[in-house]
Amino acid sequence: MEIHVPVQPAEVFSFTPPLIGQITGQISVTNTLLTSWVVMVVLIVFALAATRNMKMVPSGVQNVAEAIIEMLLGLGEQVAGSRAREFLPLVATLFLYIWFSNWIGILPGFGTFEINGQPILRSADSDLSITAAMAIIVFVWVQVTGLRSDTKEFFLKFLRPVPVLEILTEIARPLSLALRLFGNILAGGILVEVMLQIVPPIIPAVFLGLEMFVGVIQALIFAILSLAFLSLAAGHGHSESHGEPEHAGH
Amino acid sequence: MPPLTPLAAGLAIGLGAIGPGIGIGLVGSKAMEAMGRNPEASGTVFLPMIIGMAFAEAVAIYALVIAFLLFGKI
Repeated sequence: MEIHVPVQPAEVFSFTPPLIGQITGQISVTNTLLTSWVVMVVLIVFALAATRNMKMVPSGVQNVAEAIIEMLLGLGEQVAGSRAREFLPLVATLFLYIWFSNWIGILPGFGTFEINGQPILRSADSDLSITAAMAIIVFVWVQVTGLRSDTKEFFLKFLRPVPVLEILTEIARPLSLALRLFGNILAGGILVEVMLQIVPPIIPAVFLGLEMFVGVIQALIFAILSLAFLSLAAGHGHSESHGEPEHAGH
Repeated sequence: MPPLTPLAAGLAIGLGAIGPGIGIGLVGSKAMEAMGRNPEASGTVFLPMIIGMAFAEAVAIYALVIAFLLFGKI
């Protein structure tokens, strides 16, 4: 019995961008990239709907958005104290984006429509490129924050006894962020696919439920870890956390 | 592909999952103990338990990524 599971994302179409085509050449759009665009569109539409005609006393979509932001701010303040506010845009965006792109795979239509034998829509975070991109954004922002808040200390830390340790830590953090999210979502997707080919269709629904749970938790972990790294970079010893994020790396 | 590569991939994930398995079990058992002693703290204990388990599981995921890499199909 042969089990076929797609591990790598499949290219759906490729195009040459009109103006900058000389520099970038042919850009191939993969099914994961398409899904990430869908998620982006939904989130942007939600944000636009929530902020149009903003009132002091919210109602409707604005109310929902404010509730979400308040909840995230509360969570952030548990981790980073008073600094949570300044990092909230990036961290909350990461959280909502990852959560939504993990959960959108449940909708019918994902994995159903095929082009050249490969599904046309696939969970966005099962692509290392997408998770690595987010990790790189966090990495860059951590360095920028470190530079902005304490420039002397930023360069001085390389003169400590073991400079390699500092460099290794800085590299290990975004690497672990990217690989953790990628591995979890990819493994979950493969698990469900394999189960669908082995057992009758009701039983894999349990695994799908597990995947939904993992999706939320991984989004939470990514966001909280990013916030912890940012708050560590912004000022040592300022975080009034209850202990969870206070370690460097994994 | 060199002949022992499937064995290597199997060993990578098999051995790599021992540590995290024990780690997750330890986190869970301590959390169960805490919840049993103090049922009112269940809400406080639950979320850090989940987060601790996710960190431990991440190490197993690294081993899984190596296994995928060995098959050359990541």
